[in-house]
Amino acid sequence: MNRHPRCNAEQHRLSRRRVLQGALGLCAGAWWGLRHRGLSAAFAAEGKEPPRQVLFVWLDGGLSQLESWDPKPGTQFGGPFRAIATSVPGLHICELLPEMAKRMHHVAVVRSVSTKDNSHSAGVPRILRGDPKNRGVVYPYLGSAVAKLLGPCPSGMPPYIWVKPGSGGFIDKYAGFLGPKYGALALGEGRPPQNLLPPKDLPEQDLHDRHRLRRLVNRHFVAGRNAQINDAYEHAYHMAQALMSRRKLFDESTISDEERDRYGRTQIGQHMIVARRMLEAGARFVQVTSYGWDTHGDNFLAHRSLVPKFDRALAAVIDDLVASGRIEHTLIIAMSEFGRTPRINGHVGRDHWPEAWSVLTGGCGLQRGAVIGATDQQGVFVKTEPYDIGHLFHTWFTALGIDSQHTEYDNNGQPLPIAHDDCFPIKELLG
Amino acid sequence: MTTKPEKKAADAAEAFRQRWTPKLTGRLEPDRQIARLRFTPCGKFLLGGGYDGTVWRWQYEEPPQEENAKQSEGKSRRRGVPEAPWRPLERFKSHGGWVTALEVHPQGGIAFSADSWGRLCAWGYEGPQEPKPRWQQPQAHDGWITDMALSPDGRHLATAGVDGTVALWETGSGKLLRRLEGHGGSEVLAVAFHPRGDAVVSGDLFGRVLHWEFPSGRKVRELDASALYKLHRLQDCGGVRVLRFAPDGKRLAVAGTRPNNGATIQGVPTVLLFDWESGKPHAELSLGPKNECFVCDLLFHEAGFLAVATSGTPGTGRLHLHREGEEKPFFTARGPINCHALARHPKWPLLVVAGTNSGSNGNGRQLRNGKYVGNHSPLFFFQWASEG
Amino acid sequence: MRTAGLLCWFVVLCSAGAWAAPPLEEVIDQKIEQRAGRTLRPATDDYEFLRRVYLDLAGRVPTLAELEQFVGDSRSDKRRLLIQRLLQSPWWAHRMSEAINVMLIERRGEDARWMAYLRRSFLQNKPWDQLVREVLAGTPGPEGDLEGVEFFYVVRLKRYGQVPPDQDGLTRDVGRFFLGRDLECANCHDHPFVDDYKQLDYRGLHAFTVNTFLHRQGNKWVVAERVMNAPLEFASVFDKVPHTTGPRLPGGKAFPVPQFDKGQEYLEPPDRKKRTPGVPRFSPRKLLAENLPVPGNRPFVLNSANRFWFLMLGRGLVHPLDYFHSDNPPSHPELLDELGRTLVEERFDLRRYLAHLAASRTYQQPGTWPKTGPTPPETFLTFHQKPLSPEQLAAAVLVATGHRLDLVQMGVLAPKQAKQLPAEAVRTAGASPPRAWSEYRQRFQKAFAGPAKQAEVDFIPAVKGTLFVMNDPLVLELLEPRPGNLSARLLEQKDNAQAVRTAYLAVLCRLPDKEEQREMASYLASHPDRARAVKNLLWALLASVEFRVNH
Repeated sequence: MNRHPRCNAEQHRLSRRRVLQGALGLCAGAWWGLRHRGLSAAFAAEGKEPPRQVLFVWLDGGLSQLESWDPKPGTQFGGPFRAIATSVPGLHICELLPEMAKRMHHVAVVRSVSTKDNSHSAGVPRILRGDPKNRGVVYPYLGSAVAKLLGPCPSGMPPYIWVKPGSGGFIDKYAGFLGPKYGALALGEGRPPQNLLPPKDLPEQDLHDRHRLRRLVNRHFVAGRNAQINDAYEHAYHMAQALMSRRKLFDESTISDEERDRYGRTQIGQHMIVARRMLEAGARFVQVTSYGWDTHGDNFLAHRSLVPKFDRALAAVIDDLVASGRIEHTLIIAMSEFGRTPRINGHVGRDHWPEAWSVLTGGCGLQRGAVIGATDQQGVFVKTEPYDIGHLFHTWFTALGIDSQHTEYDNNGQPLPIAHDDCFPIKELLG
Repeated sequence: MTTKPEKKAADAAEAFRQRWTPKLTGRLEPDRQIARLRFTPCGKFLLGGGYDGTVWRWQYEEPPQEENAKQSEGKSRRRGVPEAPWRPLERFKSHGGWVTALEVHPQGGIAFSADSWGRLCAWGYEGPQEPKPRWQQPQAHDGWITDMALSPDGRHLATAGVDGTVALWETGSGKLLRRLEGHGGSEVLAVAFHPRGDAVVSGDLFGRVLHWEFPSGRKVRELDASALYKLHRLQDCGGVRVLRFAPDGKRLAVAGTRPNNGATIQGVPTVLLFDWESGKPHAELSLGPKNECFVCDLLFHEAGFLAVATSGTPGTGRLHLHREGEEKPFFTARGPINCHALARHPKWPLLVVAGTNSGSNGNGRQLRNGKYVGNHSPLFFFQWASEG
Repeated sequence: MRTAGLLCWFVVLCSAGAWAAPPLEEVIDQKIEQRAGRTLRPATDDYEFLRRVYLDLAGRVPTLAELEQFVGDSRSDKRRLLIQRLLQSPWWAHRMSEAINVMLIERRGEDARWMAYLRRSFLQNKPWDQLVREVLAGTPGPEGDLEGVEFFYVVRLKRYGQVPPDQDGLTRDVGRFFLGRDLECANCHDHPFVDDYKQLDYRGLHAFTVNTFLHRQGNKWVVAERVMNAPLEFASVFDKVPHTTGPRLPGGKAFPVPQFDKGQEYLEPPDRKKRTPGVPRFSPRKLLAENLPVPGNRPFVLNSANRFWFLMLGRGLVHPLDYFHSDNPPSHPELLDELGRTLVEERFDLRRYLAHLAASRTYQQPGTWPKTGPTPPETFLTFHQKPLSPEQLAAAVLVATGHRLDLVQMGVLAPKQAKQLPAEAVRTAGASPPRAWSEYRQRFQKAFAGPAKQAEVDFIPAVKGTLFVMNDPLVLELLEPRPGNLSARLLEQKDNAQAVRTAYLAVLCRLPDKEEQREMASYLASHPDRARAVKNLLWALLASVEFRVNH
């Protein structure tokens, strides 16, 4: 049956007639102006260049734009902190980001992000799915989307790796209609997934024997039968073995003290090191999540504690990506599900603010040192053209070499745009 | 079955409660948020450090008789509380960021204020015109000056900063006497002078309270208030937010929150009372549920109670009057919420507390008449019965 | 004693009465052949059939002894007898409660009381319509004997953090599971592509449960209902023309919404002091329970017939299962009608219905293509490869490696019930497994279950499950020899050829072919450490695709 619950192949195949007659609807919109390019265009862009990768830093709960990328010192809602000059002439950011201030010429900041949802429960998935038009299907999160659109890198590493606090494992619930195959391999506390290591007492030869014998049994079974399931099964074994063969990657003893200090001996710092190693090993999309950014109370001392840790970790990874040249083909994104309210509540906190906030992004050919858009004098609303998350998705897909306006997912016969149809790539950011 | 001595004690407690239960008598409505409040020694001026980077000034004005009558008719009353008879004057505007530290010279005439951008100013607060600084230190600290304290004789000033230092200044000249660097770079959030004038204490984010000899600046000892700190996820939460000596100098109140979690921070508003001699805590006051969170300001009343301003989740946080030795506050004011600052009048039985307007929080676009409006700190004037 | 026990077991479990062999299985084969324009092949061999039917009706693979006994049985009607025996055994209650749990809850969570309710229901062979009625009513009944049944509502209407109760998901699932119609796209407007699915259908169905909410009483949830005092208003997002509907089954007539004077709306008004939620006089949810699962409701009947067909055959006659509409007709319309008719005639007796399906030659077709080559799935000419559910897999791994499964430990039988049954009906032969069943069940679910809120039908092997099989101690320790288990038995068998045969029979329920026999035996012979060689062989069999599917 259909793997995705909300819309299925038959539904669309059988209904095509109706749509072509001109029926319009929330779901029907998908069928209008279909451009069947498929995904091959996305792959063609890759050629023999180094594979494009993504480093996605997620500050869960909501980084305050005013205490980070869009400070408004000396205004009513500006808060207590100062703004500091950066390596980009004319660009000032909050004093809590002294390290990034020295590196802003490598990246860009979009200050005119304006999105729709001010609750976490709805806002997080909306943002991470790019808030596409409702077509009755559950869209994948960005990591799953990139895993699908670009596939794994030639390295054979799982395409979507998620470094997070807490527990890890294979987390497939965010893959949406793409199915569990495009879920994330989560490294809880940066550690390898459960069962990655083979039993200690099992000689290499026995491990080899086991698979040889397993394939022998499968060969017998497949003869004269539908082989699809066997193929899928073999693929999973291939992935598992590829991962097992890289278990040294997870060996923490190979991280030097110097490196640990440089990234900061904090949760996000140490996780960022793991993330960089995953990128170097060839993971397509690596997400680093930091929890605890929902500062409805004591926002300012909270940001004073949180932001410098993020600043240091991000600056360190950017240094390394620059030094290795990987920044040329590594897309960097650091963001939350929304910003925080300009007004300061009685708990000296800031609440959720999707109206006007900032996203840091760069690498992979994005305009260096760019400042896209602006908020008004008090930082309340966007005064330039507002960009929704859909615009950012278009931009990021484009930077990754995917034609975001023509590429579509093939959801069991239902073509689906990969980003919101009414949005488009941000030209100034693409350069 | 209560025994006689118990009943006697209960009666005494009740008498104390009645004697020191204040009445809400007036209210002011500055349109910005206020972080600190101080009366001047003459009692004629009230100063308030604001989130708008200014120091607010109000001057007492004896209300004319007919005005009193009018007020009782409810003309300028707000929720049944008359406007307090304090007239706003031009503000002191030499600051940036937030003015989060404020003191007045004990002999009067000069106020000292400091802001979150590191500037320290001394200025005359009297007169109707906009005050100008007598002296100022634009870089007294690298960044946020969180607190200040005056020596009892008014000759010296100690400031605390998130740069991890405590600075000692001559109040007359604004000259830096000494910079104390014992907090290992951790944010110093509170500072106090011992009433004898021979010691300064400073408290940091990690709950360390350092005792410095004054004026030498020698570090004497460290008091442990680490109960007021917690690392939650990535966030260092809590810290020593308030330091106050009892008037007799025998006890030190170290206050903040016992943090439960970060982000939307929660914790029990807590005052740890240290015995100054031994450096050991001898009592702990828990002033509310964990959503009430922080003790923001505190003062000792010589009648034997503490006035404490707390603030937590919007809508919580109160003015509490807590008699030392008792389990619970004997008075918790109903009106003000999210209280951030306290000041006691030098002559009259008057206490003012800065609260926050209700409905101060909320996600997303909330416009009032099409405008995006910030929050403010209503000031509540509480009065005790006069002596005798 | 023993005879008495057996007799009692028989009487209890056959309370529906002995049944004469109905002709439905023949009708099935006839319709399948008619449609295909060719004859079905002879039924598959005993080995494949036995494994298949054990997995489908007992939720596990047969033990070596059960296999040997069946293959050695020369009676011509042994398959029919086996089907009946399995359907009457408590293993069937185990299998069905797990399958229906997955179908109705879709991995939203687990609840012991709900599982107990399902097991009780299948132990007594509760008619399917009655079970659905109880689930839709959602109340534990005046005697409390349906305790746990509320879980169907609880998992959907519980608040998780800021996530509100999933009222729309509930409506959608009622349509999907009980009517075979996924009306979700008709929530805001008529379905854009399916002419049959109207917004009125969605909203009418929604009206039955829109006022249902959860009320906490002590440590339990009560499925309560608010007063409905007016029909539901709705409008298409396109034309914005206002409509109203009372509770209404798709295609049917709306129930009128009665008006009561103020104060008269409740049979039992809510009581704050006693913390009771109140009982409205007019209960749309009760109407749903009373009017949906009835013989006269054709969508319910055909959907039920189709879903249990799917459970056995691996694909619906209408496929996807929740996509009944005129543009997606059944592959075999007459057959579906026939199935529905029989289901009604036999009063939704699932044992009888599944007996028909299992007895058909269609069900017993080989899993290999015919000589003529691949056949399209909707012809049912080749048996589908059905992935084992995590619960089937856990039980299969334990039985295959020679470990004991015990229905008392598995929560299917109370010790008292078990005492009335012969031991072999309560537990399988084998070594005592190193861990409790609940742990195996949970860990296999974690490794192999699909995502929540999705029908678990696709075979998507994931790295997680693969690593689990490769490296998890919970799996690997079952390969260690322990008195009475397969590994121990194989080590005792000094003849390699015999050991290979035993391993194949125990794990894959078949004999090795010549190449396998030769390769495996030579592997055992060549390995310097026989114990390790045996473990490797066993692992390879367990990790094979063949073991992972019901074929």
